[in-house]
Amino acid sequence: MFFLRELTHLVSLQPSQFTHDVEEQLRRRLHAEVEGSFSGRFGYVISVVDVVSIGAGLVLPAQGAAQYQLTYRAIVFKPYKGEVLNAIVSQVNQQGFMAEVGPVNVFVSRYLLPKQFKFNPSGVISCWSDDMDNRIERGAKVRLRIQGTQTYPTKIDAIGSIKEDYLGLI
Amino acid sequence: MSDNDARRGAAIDDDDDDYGLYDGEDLDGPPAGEPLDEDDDEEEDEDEEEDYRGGRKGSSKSRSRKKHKANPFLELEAEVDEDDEEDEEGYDDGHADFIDQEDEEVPDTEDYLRTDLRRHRDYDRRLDQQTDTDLQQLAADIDRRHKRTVPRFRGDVSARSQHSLLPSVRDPKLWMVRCREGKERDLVLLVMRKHFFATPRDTPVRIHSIFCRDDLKGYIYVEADLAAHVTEALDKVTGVYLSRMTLVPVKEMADVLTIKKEDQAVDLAHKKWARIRRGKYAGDLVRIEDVADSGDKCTVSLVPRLDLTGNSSNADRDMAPMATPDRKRKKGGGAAPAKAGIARPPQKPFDERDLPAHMVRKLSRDNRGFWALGPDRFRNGLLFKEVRATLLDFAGAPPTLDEIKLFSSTDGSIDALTLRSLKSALDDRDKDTSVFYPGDQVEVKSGELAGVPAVIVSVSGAVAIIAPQIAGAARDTQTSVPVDQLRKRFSVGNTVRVLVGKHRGKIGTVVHVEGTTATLLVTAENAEIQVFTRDLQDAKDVTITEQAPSTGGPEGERQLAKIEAAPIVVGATARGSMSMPTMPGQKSTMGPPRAPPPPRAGALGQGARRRDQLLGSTVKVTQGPYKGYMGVVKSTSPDGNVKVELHTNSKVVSVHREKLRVRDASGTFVGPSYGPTGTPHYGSAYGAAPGIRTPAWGGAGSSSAAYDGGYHNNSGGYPGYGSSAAPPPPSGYGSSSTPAYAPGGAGPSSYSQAPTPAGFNAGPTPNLYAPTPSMHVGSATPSYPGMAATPMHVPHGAATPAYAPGAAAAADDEPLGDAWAREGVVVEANPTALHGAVPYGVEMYIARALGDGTRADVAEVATGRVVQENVPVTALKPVAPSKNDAIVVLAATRVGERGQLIAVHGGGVQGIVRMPGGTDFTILKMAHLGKLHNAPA
Repeated sequence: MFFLRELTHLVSLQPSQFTHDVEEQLRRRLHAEVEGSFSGRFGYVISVVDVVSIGAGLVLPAQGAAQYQLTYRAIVFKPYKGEVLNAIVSQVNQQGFMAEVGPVNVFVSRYLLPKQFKFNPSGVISCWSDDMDNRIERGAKVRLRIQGTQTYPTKIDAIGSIKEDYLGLI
Repeated sequence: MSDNDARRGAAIDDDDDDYGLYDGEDLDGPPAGEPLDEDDDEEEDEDEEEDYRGGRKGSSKSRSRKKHKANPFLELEAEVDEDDEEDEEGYDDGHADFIDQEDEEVPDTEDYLRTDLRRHRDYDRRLDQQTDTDLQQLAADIDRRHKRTVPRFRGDVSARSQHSLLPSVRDPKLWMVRCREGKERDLVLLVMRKHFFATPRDTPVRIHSIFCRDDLKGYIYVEADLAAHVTEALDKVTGVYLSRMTLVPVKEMADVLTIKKEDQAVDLAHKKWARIRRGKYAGDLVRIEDVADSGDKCTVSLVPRLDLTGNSSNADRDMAPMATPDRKRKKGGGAAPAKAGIARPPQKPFDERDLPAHMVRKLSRDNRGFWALGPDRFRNGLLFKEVRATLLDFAGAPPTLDEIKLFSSTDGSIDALTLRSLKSALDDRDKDTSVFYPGDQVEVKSGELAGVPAVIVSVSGAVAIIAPQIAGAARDTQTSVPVDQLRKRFSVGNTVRVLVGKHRGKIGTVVHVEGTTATLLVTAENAEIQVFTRDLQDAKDVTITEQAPSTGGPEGERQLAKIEAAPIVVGATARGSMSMPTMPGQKSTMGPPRAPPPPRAGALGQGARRRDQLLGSTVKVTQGPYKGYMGVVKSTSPDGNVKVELHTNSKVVSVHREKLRVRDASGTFVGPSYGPTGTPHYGSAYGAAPGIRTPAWGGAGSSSAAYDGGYHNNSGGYPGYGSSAAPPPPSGYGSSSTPAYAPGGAGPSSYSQAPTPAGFNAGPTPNLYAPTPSMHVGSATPSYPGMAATPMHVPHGAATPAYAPGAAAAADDEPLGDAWAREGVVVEANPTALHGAVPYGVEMYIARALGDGTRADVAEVATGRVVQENVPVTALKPVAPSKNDAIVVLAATRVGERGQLIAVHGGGVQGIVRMPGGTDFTILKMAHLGKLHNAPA
């Protein structure tokens, strides 16, 4: 699910960067450092929407660098159990397939595929296909439901299912 | 403060302003009409009032009273009481003022006014009271009339009533009557008919009941009040042997009617796998193919052990591979081949092409595809055999995959059916191996609640208390269920950890659950594994392992810290057992809390974590029954007792270490005061020898060790180091660092002053060294008046007197190091560190200490919000505590201990700290003290 959240970030600037465009630099740094980052609590920071405030720069003693606390609003993404998401299949194997929902890898086990899907290793790329010639192969778009998530320090992995009405290839 | 303010403030705050006390008491106190209390109040209030009147507030009070009159709706009760008191007290110098103010409003005399007012109020009050009681009475009446007299049904009632239903001596008795076997039912029916068709001329059947048990042949039961009634009822009934009538004891009556669970026969139908108990195939796995109707025999298939060598001595066995034990005994002299040491033929699937010629001749094939060889039939390489159920062992070792494979079809792969049957076989054994912990999600397998999901509340022995999770059921409903009726429950998407088996320790996500088997996706390996649910445990709290250290994301959040803490909780408390598999990289801090070490007695006391010097030394017992005996010290214990193996008879006896003399290098036995360090020089060498250095000394690079030592001390507590009565500190300051040794270079002469333990203990008395706690408090740098005795004992800044100065210096001058993080310590950004990790100038506290105290999650003091995670402590600096702050010791010998900073001395270098539970004070370096943040971390 996507959220708009207010977050803070510390940026330190070296004395050499104390120029007229300090704010611009801070914004740039913020975008560079924060976008795409992950935290277990909030999920992935997708995009910084705006900067709410830029704190006063504190020059660190014995260091010279200044530290700014930036408060910003960002779109964060975190998958939740039960959530239905669209994903792109990235990898297909005998156990099922992996799909990507942006930064999140979702594994759909063969048990969570509809019964009629059979693994088809022949051909150029292996795929899961049913008798209607629906092929779940690399690059295919699927709609899936998150069955569970597992959080790591740097990422979230999820288990998905397409064994339900209105789920599957789109 | 204006009058109004005063009153309002008083009513709200109840502060110690006089008004407040006054009003507060009246408001909170019991309603008027309780003379005793009132009297008390009056006395107090009188005093207070005196104060007012004497003070400048006298007039303001009267003014406020006037206000009251104007606002009769405010604080009525309070006013009443005030008036009462005023009245009873009479008027003192304060009232003149009062009259003046009131004159205009109330022209009457005061007496009249007050009495009248009071009467009115008294009347009102009485009226109120009456109405009140009436209402109460009414409520009570209604209650009495309509309240249920029968106690409500509660779940446990049935158990009690069951008990009360058990027969007692007053109930009819039960007789067991012998009868003709097989006629039991007929006889029961006959008696019933006799009762129904009895004519008035017949003797009535006066028994209460008659019944028989199917499993007890030759007996019927008759329930009657008297034995005569039984004889009457069974009179002229053929097939009953009334001469053999026995009374069933009251205690056994319930058992007669208890239906026992059917065993073997039922089992056979459900079981799929078993092992042969005896004979040539002892221990071999069999698959049950068919169960005979009788239930005591079944057809099994198994991998044959044919002897193809054609050895004549084995020929018989080949013919009868499934020999019954009886036959075996006759032939093989009473011993199974395996036991007799005769190598039994290996298991090998039957293949007619492998058979030697002489056997092929006997081979025949029937129309169902069975090969017959003598009495045995083979199909698909398996031997089919009818065996008695008693020969099968259902509780034996579970089938292994290899064994199962032998049963599977020719290509060696396991067909789904086989696998499923294997699973069910294992499932039957579930109850033996499954371990449940509080909090586990379970499902009830059988019994009344079968299929109900539940959560384990507690487990005691074989019974678990579960909280069923049924929609609509009360939340706190709990029932107890035998553990073997439970099965762990996991649903798709759960993160679980494998507890046992090949995949032990792996963490995965459940992708599929079928019966008792779960398929996990192990993300780390990107592979699927199949495990039994009973071997799984919810691993929600350990999603993050240390294998993937966090880089410290830009956002503050505690996820990571939680994960680090979780396994400890899970392992040590929730589980209460150390059998929990630990994940790689997990801290070894799991374990039961260590018991505080008892204070060491005697100068031989050694550091608890160090090998006792006494160990292995030759000693002589000086007191007690073993006086004069020599022996070798085998083990020591913290209470001062030593196990000595006597030379004379190799007997191990327990002797207190003070009753021992140790043989030194020269071969003479020296008293315990010299301890294991017989030579005078030893003492001084002690401090320097790195090998003997205790962890708590915190030499270079031993920060974690220092922590351990501190931990130890923390729990144990120093028995008042330096106070005269206390023994030397238990850890780190062993025998050599006691005062007498402290001088180091003082030489033998100093020892002669205190050669015995008694002398030792007397040594550090206030007279001699005056190291009393008050002494420390008084002076920032403790001086030792008795120092003359130990000339080289130089007073040291932070040294504690009982310590050798050298040791103390080493310990207490130790820099803070880089592993001091402790939860709750208030920190700020370290200005000297080249880290921009934490905001500068913000007061933070350590929300979570990580990595043995080298890293920490910090949170802002003001908001409690985690500012940054996983910050190296070098980027932080503990905020110096000020007077009366709660502190924790961050380094040196007493690391980890908490206390309160009483005062700061020595120009801010030393802090005087009081540890909880002790009356004595400790002087510690301020740099080693961390201020504690009291907000929940």
